[in-house]
Amino acid sequence: MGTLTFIAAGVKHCRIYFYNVEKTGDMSKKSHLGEFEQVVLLAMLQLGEDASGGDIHEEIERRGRAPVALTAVYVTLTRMEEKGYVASRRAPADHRARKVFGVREPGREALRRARRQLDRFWEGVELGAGDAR
Amino acid sequence: MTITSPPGLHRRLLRLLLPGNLRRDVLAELDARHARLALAHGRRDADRWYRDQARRSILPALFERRRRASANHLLPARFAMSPSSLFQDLRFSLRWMGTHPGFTAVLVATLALGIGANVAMFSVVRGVLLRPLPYDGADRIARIYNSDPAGGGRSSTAWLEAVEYREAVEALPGVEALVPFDVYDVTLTGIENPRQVRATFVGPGFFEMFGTEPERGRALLGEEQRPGADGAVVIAHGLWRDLFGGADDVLGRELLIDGRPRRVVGVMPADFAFYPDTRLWLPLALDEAALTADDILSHGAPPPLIRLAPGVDFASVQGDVDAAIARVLERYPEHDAAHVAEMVPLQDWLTGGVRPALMALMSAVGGLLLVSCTNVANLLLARAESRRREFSIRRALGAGTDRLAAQLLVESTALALGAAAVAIGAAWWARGALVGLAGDTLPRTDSIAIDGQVLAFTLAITLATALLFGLAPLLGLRRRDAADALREGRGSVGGGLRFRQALIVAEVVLVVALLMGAGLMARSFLALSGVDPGVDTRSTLTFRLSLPEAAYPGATDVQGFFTRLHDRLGALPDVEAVGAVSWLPYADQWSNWGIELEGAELPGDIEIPHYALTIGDYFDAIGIPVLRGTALRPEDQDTGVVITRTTESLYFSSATPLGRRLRFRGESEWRSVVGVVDDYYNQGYDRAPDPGVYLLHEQLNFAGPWFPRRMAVVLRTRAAPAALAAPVRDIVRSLDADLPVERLATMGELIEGTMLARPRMTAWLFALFAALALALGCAGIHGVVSWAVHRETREIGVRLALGARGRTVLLHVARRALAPVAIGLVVGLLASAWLGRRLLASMLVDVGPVDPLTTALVVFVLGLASVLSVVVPARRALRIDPVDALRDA
Repeated sequence: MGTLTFIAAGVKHCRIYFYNVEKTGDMSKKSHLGEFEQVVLLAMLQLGEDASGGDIHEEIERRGRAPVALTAVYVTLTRMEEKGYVASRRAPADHRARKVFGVREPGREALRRARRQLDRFWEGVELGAGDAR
Repeated sequence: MTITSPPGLHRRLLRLLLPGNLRRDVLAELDARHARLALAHGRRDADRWYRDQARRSILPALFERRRRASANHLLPARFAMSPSSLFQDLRFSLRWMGTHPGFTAVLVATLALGIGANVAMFSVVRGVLLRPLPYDGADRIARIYNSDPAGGGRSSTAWLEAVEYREAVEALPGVEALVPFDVYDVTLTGIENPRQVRATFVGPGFFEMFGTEPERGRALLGEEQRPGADGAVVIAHGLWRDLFGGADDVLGRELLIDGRPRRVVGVMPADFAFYPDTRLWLPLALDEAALTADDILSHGAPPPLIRLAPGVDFASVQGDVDAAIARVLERYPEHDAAHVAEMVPLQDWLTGGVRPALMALMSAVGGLLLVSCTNVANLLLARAESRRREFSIRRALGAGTDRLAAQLLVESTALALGAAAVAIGAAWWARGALVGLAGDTLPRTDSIAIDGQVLAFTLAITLATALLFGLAPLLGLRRRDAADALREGRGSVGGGLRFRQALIVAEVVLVVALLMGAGLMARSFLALSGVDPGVDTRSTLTFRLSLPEAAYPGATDVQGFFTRLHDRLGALPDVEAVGAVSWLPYADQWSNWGIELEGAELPGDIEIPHYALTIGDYFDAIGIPVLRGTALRPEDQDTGVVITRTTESLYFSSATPLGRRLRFRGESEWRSVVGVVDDYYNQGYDRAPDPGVYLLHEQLNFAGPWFPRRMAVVLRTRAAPAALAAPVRDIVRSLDADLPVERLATMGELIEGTMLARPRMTAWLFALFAALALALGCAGIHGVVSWAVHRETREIGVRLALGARGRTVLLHVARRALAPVAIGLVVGLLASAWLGRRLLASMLVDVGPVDPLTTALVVFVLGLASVLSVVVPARRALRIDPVDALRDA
């Protein structure tokens, strides 16, 4: 039964990740920033320069998202690095030589575009009580 | 595992799944976070978090791998399935199955049959053969036999030797321990139903050898091994439940064991089972100072247990152990010193006897699964014909073969998984039925379960079958351009038929192999059933008594009881003869002891005889004929012995044995041969009997733990043996109310259980699998022929219109159908001969793996079944109206 639960739990998260993978999987579409990519970039900007994948993951969880896999964070960071949105290096001062990440200007520009796009859709929308925006 | 180490299994899974470029960083971060969580919130929460992270990482890791493979051109772009197309294919497949429930049910049932049989058999194979014994370092534990390197077989170990072995062998590097033990049934009295239970008397270090502690209380202590201080007992989990209702206060309670009170000091876990069926563990309490080599019955120690040090294998210590034992035996020149230590690993000892049968049955169900797959492949091919237009349009719109293959695989996987779900339910039931059928013929039945590994096996074979039959429609359909397909003409069958006929050939090969296996096993079982066991199976009733030492301390007490019993039983109406024997044929293990002949030199490699003690008219009661001389009589109680026919031929060759004298090795007293009796198959029906010597129980006159108090009583009766059961119990109760009567049965029932039950079960199962395979095979042949007739309607109509006779049409149809059957039959017989030698030869009695009669029967059965499968579609072909056929085309 443990095996079945293991598999079922993995499949349960399948649809959530499918959407993200489909939306963010094509690396040729640089102009479109997926929802999770935005979340990762924003978490990095909150943390400042030289944030590790683990730090970014903790920041995302701390700010109230649904639990996500650390692997998903690293996969997203890898893709964004390939797109040129983030850069990574090894931190020599850290004896474990962790990989740390920082947001590059193309990544900031992509975030600005995504925000402007979202703002255009929010224009004139009133949700009433509970609208956190 | 240190306190901050993450769960090993999940970490290994992540190592496997994560792409190489991410592995180091992700694992390092996860480990660090795990350590921080463990410090802050405890190990349990940290492990839970880690396991959750591992589950969530599966899909991201897999998709990242796929993305990188595509980016590196390792996968053709168009082969990459997107998740949405996968779900789309699945939805389409499920919708199609919903609209064709009958067809789907046939597919699922066919697959479930094959998968279910495999799952059930694998659960048995895994539980009995593959699952490691539940003991720490079980692969380093063996039983150590005295074996004659010249082929004289094994001989029993004397207790004195066992003690000296221990000292010599335990001193060897590479050996952790050598533990002697003894096993026999003891009588539990002072309870509501006095009974006999199996007890294992264990030497020092026994529980440490298995690395198993009692689940309650403690194991036996070293000081409890001293004679007189051995009042402790450890009981089995099952006995704790039966006798004490699982009470918490069991420790310190008393049990009367063979009339002696013993104190319960521990309860073993439910899965601890050495020796098999043991319910009590008692101290061996050997009085080593009192051991002598001259006491004939101080031998007969079961082969002791040896445990090697970690990293040491049996081959590497063989020479040292042999040398150590040889040095021990040199001190007893009257023994045969030419022995080697035969170390039989514990798992092999427990399960070796059933391995050939289980592996043969596993192969049989594998064949059945392949037959199921070929049938399903044929059915899907038929369905694919109706989808030819769909496939061609999709190709015209740009779908590659890989895309169509992906769709077919999704459909076949959905089918296979549905069948697997049904199969698991069926296997659950079948497993219980198999274990019930097997009874005592299968060891370790408590280990047989549908567990995670069996489910993993189920998943593996399910996916493999999905792959096997799933692509059949694609292989069977020829690639055509869109225009051809859209014309949707019927007519020539072409490549589609050839592929389906090839599937029929494969199916027939498997069916023939299974039929041959079933036929050979059935003939072997019939031969076994017809063997004369050498004893009377119909008119004899037998039961076992074990007299407690406390109530019957000396020889006169034991012999007096059996004398009174003999007289009372002999007085019963319809009883013709009464006797008793220390070890009952076909039911008990015998002991061997070497003999010497007065005035004769025996070859060093001569087989060592077994021996037994008798009381009363034993040979008359059990129906073993006296061939020469006389049976043992009261006047023989001093020195007379009776030998078996095999002993006579081996030891006395041309000379008559009557009057000759022999003695057991280590004895000073010579005994006279007064008679020769017939043999029985004490080594099984498939081996020649070994030599035997019988002597009267009254010849023994000593006290002590080795004095034989356990005897099997045998009565011959004119009436039905079962009618004596109640009078027997009454008589025994009147002589001793605390003495339970055990194993009350006829000799026929005992022989059925020990000699015939396993071959019967194997033969029945083989026949069942073969019958199922034959039915599936016939259905497959029928399906292909029906399909071919349907496809060739116009052609047949044209032939009939042009004047062809019905017989010509019939021959045409029959040739199409029976040609692949004939090819499959020939190939199948060759394959059966090869498989039979490898899988069945060791189990067959009186029949070889290549048997003309069985072959002829298989050819007849398959031929008849094939012809019957073709009859209906052939008659349908004859009834085709040429006008209708031409018009419809």
